[in-house]
Amino acid sequence: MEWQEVLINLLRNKISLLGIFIILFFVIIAVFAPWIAPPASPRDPYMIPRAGWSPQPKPPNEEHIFGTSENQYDIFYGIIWGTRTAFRVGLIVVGISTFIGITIGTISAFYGGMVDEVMMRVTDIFLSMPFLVAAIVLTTILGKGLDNVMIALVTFGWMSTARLMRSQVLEIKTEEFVEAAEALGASDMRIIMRHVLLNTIFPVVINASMRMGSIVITASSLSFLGVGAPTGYADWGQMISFSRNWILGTQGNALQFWYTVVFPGVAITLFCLSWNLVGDAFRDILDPKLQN
Amino acid sequence: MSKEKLIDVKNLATYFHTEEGTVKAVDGVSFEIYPGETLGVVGESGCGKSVTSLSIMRLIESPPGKIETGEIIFDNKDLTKSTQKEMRKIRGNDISMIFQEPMTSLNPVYTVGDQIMEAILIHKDVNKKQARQESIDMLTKVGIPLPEQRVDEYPHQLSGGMRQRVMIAMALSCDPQLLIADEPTTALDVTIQAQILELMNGLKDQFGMAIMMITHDLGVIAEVSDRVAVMYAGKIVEYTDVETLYANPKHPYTWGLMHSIPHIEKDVDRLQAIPGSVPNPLDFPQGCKYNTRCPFATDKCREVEPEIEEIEESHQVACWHVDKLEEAKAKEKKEKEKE
Amino acid sequence: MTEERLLEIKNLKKYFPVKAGVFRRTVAHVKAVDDISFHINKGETLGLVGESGCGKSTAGRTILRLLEATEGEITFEGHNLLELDKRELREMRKEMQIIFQDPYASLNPRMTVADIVGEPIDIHGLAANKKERNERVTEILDTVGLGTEYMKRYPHEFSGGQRQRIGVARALAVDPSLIIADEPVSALDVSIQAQVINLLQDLQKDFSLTYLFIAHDLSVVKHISDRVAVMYLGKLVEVADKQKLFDDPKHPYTQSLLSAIPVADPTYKSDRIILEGDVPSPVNPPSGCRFHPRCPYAMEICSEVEPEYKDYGEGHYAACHLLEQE
Ligand SMILES: Nc1ncnc2c1ncn2[C@@H]1O[C@H](COP(=O)(O)OP(=O)(O)OP(=O)(O)O)[C@@H](O)[C@H]1O
Ligand SMILES: Nc1ncnc2c1ncn2[C@@H]1O[C@H](COP(=O)(O)OP(=O)(O)OP(=O)(O)O)[C@@H](O)[C@H]1O
Ligand code: SF4
Ligand SMILES: [Mg+2]
Ligand SMILES: [Mg+2]
Repeated sequence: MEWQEVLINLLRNKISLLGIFIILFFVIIAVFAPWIAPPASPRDPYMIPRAGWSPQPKPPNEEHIFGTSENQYDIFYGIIWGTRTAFRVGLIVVGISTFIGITIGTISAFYGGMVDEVMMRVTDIFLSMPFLVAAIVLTTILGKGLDNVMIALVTFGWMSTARLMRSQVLEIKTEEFVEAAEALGASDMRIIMRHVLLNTIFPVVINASMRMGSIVITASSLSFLGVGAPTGYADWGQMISFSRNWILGTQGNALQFWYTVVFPGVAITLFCLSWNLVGDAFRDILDPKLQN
Repeated sequence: MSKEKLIDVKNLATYFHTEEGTVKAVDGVSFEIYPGETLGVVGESGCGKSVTSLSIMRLIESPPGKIETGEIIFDNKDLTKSTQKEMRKIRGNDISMIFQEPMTSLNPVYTVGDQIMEAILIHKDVNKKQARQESIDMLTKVGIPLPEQRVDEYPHQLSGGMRQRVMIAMALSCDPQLLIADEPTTALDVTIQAQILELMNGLKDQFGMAIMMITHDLGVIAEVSDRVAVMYAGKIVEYTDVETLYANPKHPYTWGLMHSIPHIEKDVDRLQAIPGSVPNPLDFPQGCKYNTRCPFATDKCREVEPEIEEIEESHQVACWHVDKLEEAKAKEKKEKEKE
Repeated sequence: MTEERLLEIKNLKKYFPVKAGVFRRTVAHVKAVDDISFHINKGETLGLVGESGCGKSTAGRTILRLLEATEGEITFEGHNLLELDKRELREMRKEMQIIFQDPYASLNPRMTVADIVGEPIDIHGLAANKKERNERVTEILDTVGLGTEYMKRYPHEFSGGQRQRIGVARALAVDPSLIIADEPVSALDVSIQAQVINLLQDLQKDFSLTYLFIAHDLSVVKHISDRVAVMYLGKLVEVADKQKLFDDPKHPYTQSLLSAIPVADPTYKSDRIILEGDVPSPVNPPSGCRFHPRCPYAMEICSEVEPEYKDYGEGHYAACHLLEQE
């Protein structure tokens, strides 16, 4: 099955179509953010404008259609510009960690022997550390900030891809067409690029699209825990962390501050869901092929 | 022949209704098997050999498969109309089957003995101890050394040839009247194949059963069969006794096949290959299904499908131009004489 | 015929380690190819037969250095292949090619036919530009009987026989002198096998190719070979001219192998020698002559001393104690 064919199937599949629509919706929001929510100071558009200094959130009103959160940060603005943050974190972290994973997994499996042994032991060491804790510790060491969050997530986020890639390559490596290429005198680089990667990349793509959502959630949790984006930065996780003190509402009115958690919560959930839908559909489309 | 037929298959058609279209896997085949004889069914991959045998056993997966028409008369009953409950009584008892891949048809988590005993316990009125003894006897009969020990081993502990012996032991444990063997030796080496064929021949005489032997190997067919049905694209195209078939093939496909394989006992410089390839079952040609590859094909062949007919006593052929083949044979003979 | 040797194998061994335990220590070896010697003359076809697992494919792949030999010598056109470094070897691969058994697994499913057949041309820089490359690909596809209309298609759009032709085309693209064909027709439909066999024979004539033809079907081997080598459990037991081998097999294993072939003629009655038992494991092969547990003529010496593999006249090689005693 070729890329075009996969694409056509993706568009035919109702579930993946829904996922693609949601992703497109977020893309449009991210692209048109300056028009949807014009920044107060164009020099630093990611800082959420504040509508006062009162600590208590205010419900949606005409001026702040999603209301304001703790310390009067505008929720609507935060959600809109937070979309950009989500894409940036997701794409950069998934992109780089997938690249590292593919490289390590491929080299490890292709060359085998000592190379494999060393690389896989290193992978094991990284895998043995609890992901979230390790990421928090590393971010704390590096200092608060979104870039450092991304570094931490990449550092501890490549292993599953490496493992997946390794098992894929081990399987393909013994295929006769790889042997045929070797018999023709193809260089290792050529064999890897044209024969091995071409036939192993699909599951990794599926895996990467699934991870888009979870990485954004993890980044949000770090923000929620206060080691992520600086205060006031447009980031969904931070938006939820603003609601931390208000989630339970007040006595007799538990849902009083619902808007502080619902809007950013929905944004994160939808974002994550859409990537999973696409990933799932990908797998369904490719599975019959994988079974053949 | 005055003998009573053991099984009489009449105009059997089994189709698979798949997403891409209807596969006419078996499309109107008729044949019969007499007690104690071996009927060989030969044909290339995908021509419908396995589907024919699975139809007799009523083991066609449904959906997508369905027996569309036809009768399978066995023991005065039409098996196509039997319930699955009735079939369970017949399977393994009156008709048993062995398959090409002995590993996949044995259950890896049970011992060899358990699996043979299961068949015996279902169909015979014996207790466990007797069943075990019978299993050991069966293993002895199929030539497995140290049967008392092997009976407690698992399939993976046995070699391919041994597994096929176990399959045969299982199939014969209830003394069936008909054994259907679907490529029983294809996965085996020649020396092991020779062992198994010899074993089957011996057991056939001993048990007095009939065998339906399915294979694509013209050598194996020549060796074991009394009569042969040649299949092509879901149809029987030629049906006669084994000597006649090899000495005087009358269908262009049979004839082509025999010329296209190297024969160990005679040398030729060049094989006469059959051009083209087996047609796609979703897209069979109109008329005779062999017309895309047949050297004698005419417009008639491309339009109307020939029915199988008796052209000589007990020699059935489905071809419009049997005469043309005869001419070709005569020409070939003349050329040989010239040399 | 001038008998010029193209390939000479001396005492070739290929052992695969069997690893076990937590530390993956080597506990034993699969002696897949264990000390074989033979040669192939220029322009001839040597058939290599034997039962499943006897080491035919391993021998073929070791000769091409797709597997590293454990021991031995492989001389090809005067070069010792085992001494070549990676670059020299890559260059040498132009001269030796392989055709595989499985027409499905041996073609990259994500490459078009033009790219599959064009790859060797790219690797060795055999075409100056794109146009020349395309012409060359067209020419080769035409040689193997595939039209240019197929160039843009992917392997799964072809039948088994056509795929095997693509595999042959790929091997031909570098204009090799030796082709190792590892069961090239075993996976094909009976009616298609003859097409590929004929193609291989035609190509041999047109391009003066030399073949090592691996197969387990003795009728096919007899048809296509000039000489035949018989392998049993990692060893060569007999090598001879085709006619001599089939008319007068010297080794008991060859004799039983020949007698086991089912003959496509119901009137033909062969005196079948049915061998007892199965092929033993190559991890722990029998002592002495490896065939002795199944051999109908085994003597005491057979289980103790390994028979010498030697020439019994006119290039009829065999390894059996019966022959030594005669
Ligand atoms: N479950 C199924 N669904 C759809 N088509 C099927 C199914 N089983 C068999 N067929 C088709 O029916 C046709 C006949 O298949 P069958 O297995 O009888 O061939 P065969 O003669 O036994 O071949 P082989 O020598 O490969 O075993 C084939 O075209 C096959 O694709
Ligand atoms: N990579 C490997 N690692 C370990 N053992 C191997 C490997 N490749 C082959 N073997 C073993 O070496 C022996 C010879 O295998 P080989 O594939 O050469 O046999 P063959 O004669 O080609 O058989 P076939 O007719 O089944 O293709 C077998 O016992 C096999 O299990
Ligand atoms: S009917 Fe026509 S096409 Fe079919 S086999 Fe006979 S001659 Fe050939
Ligand atoms: Mg079948
Ligand atoms: Mg092999």
